[in-house]
Amino acid sequence: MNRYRVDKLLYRLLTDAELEALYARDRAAAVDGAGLEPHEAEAIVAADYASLYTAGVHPFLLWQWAGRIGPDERDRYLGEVAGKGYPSYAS
Amino acid sequence: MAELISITGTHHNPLLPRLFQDPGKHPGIPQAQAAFDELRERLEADRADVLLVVANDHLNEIFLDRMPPFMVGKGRQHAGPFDFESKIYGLARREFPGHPALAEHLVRFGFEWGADLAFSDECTLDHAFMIPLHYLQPDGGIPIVPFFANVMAPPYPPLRRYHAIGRMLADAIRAFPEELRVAVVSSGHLSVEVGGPKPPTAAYDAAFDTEIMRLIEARDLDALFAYATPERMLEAGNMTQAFSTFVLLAGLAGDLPLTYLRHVFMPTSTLPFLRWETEGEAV
Repeated sequence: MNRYRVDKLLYRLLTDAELEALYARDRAAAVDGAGLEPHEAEAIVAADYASLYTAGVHPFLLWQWAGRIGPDERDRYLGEVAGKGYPSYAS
Repeated sequence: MAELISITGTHHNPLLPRLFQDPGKHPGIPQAQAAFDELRERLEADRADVLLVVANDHLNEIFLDRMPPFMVGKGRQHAGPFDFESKIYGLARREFPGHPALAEHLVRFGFEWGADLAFSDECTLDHAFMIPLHYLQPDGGIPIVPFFANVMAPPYPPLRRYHAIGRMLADAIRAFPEELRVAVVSSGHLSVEVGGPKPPTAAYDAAFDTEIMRLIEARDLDALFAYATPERMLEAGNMTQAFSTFVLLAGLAGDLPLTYLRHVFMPTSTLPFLRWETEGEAV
């Protein structure tokens, strides 16, 4: 996984209100055009925290993003990263 | 010549404004409120002309496409926090005049000293800047110079470098050729985990925090550098690099007496409160 590319999309989802709203309506459309490989795009569309965390996507961005997606997402996040240790998040 | 009057260090948990609305919820809340009040009163008594505000951006203003280890805000105006932070944290957007002359001096002094600082003429200040200003400078109006330290994106400078940059900033302030009373306001975390496997209620390491505060009080930076290895920092929490701003502050403080020191244990973090000043009794 290209960490920088995925981090960049998360950064945009967190700081660009229009893109965040698009993700809430149509996840695939929000990810389209970000230049991600199919498996990276799928992980963002599915909010697959375990895969993203394990690949070293920045945990601060992931945690903020989970909080934005919905009220119960952070509980799901903690469930998914439990036991996954501390992969390097250096981009 | 300019004077370095005082240095104040606090925490920047953005949830504090909401937590403080319910002081009965945890015994730490009124203790933290009292510490902010005390430090605000002391800062008001400093009659500072300008505040150097040392903090870390959270990948809001500065992203991985360009990541300076240290950066000075040199613009004429500074504003923050970001709109989404105002919405989520209930933190009002505010504007402060800048102090471009002092900011430029810090950059030029750095070149001669051996630290090439990045600068920005337009930067938005996130909650790490706005939380200390919210509690310590609630009425605004005073010019500020923001100083950004990277604690979010590896590779990080070694801890010794944060300390050295703090010493450089103190020398630079004292070499500024104008009558100016400069106070430093800063924020950071001690141990902290964000987005790692530890849930927020178990996301800090009280033993690490207590030892760091003890070593800062004892001015034993060599022992601090030996203790806070990358492995020990990761054990304490995946974002524990955030305590580097306090190492920078210890460098800024140099031999000034530490006149205020508290750490308040909250459910999810230790809140440190520190102040060094030119006049006053050491704790």
